[in-house]
Amino acid sequence: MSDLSKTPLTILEEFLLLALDDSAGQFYSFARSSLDCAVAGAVLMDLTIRNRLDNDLKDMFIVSTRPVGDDILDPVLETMALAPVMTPHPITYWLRQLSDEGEALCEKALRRLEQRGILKREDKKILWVFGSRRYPIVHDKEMREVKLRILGVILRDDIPSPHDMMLTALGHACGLFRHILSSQELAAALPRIELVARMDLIGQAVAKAVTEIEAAIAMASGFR
Amino acid sequence: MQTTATESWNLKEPEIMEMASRLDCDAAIDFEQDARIFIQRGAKELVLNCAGLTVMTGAGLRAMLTMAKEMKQVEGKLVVCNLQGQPQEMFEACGFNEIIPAYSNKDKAFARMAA
Repeated sequence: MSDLSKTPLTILEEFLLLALDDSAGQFYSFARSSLDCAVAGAVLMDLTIRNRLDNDLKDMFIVSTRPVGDDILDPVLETMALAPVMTPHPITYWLRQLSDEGEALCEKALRRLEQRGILKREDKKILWVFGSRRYPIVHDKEMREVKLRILGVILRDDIPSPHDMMLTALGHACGLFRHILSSQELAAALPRIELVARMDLIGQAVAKAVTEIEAAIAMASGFR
Repeated sequence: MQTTATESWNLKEPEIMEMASRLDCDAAIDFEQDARIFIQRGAKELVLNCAGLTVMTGAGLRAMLTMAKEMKQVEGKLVVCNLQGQPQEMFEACGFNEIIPAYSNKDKAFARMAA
């Protein structure tokens, strides 16, 4: 990625900005594996919207291996293209594969947001032992802009762009809106959120995977 | 594989666009370009006749969404008709019928638009 100032934010970067509690400089509370799954979904969405991947109701397939010029997306596309004769797989297959790299992909995207001058990284020690990392926002223009756009999608009846539809689906999949809307606002907007979220099959797959992760965590906690 | 292209479309009267057999990643680009011609000509109501459409992918759905949004921005309306088989399954599984009105045939689409 050559000139970041001229490159629009990816779905992954915008998702991370939405998932960041700007008052605390930390992510809202998500299970790590749910966040990894959402990050994997965001990468698949970014490649899809750039016409490198496509999908039907059953499978996701590679339609072009031409690099997009993005140092996060291109290595993923390269890996996907190595799959045996580019056999189509269900979206859930790729989600699982990429979720294993979710933390690394997330880290790369956060570094890029730092390079863009949108946030900075602060590492602190608590009681001189435990590490704590915060990402205070330096310039909140981008965060405000993406929040306003997504709120516009879920609080009005406007037809969303494919980019915003995907971002909404991702936000819904990992329960993001309960953090950025009041419970009353959420209750009022829920039918609309569900409608928009359903429009994207990658978002549907992320939602299903996150539900399974949360159920597994709940079951494991119940056994303690 | 890519049979949907500008030359394969039969662009009839200003408001109807005959869709060819596939609306996938490649065809979606041509579809958007051609649908924009209608918008530039001032069309306010556009019916996508999907009678010949047999395969639609996620890219095709997003292209329809993009054009529905662009039509709405000029206070116009985009509807589809004659969806069947796999394209209809995709359309309904993603709830697109809640955003883009779908009619079982051309006459019903025209009648609803005229109402």
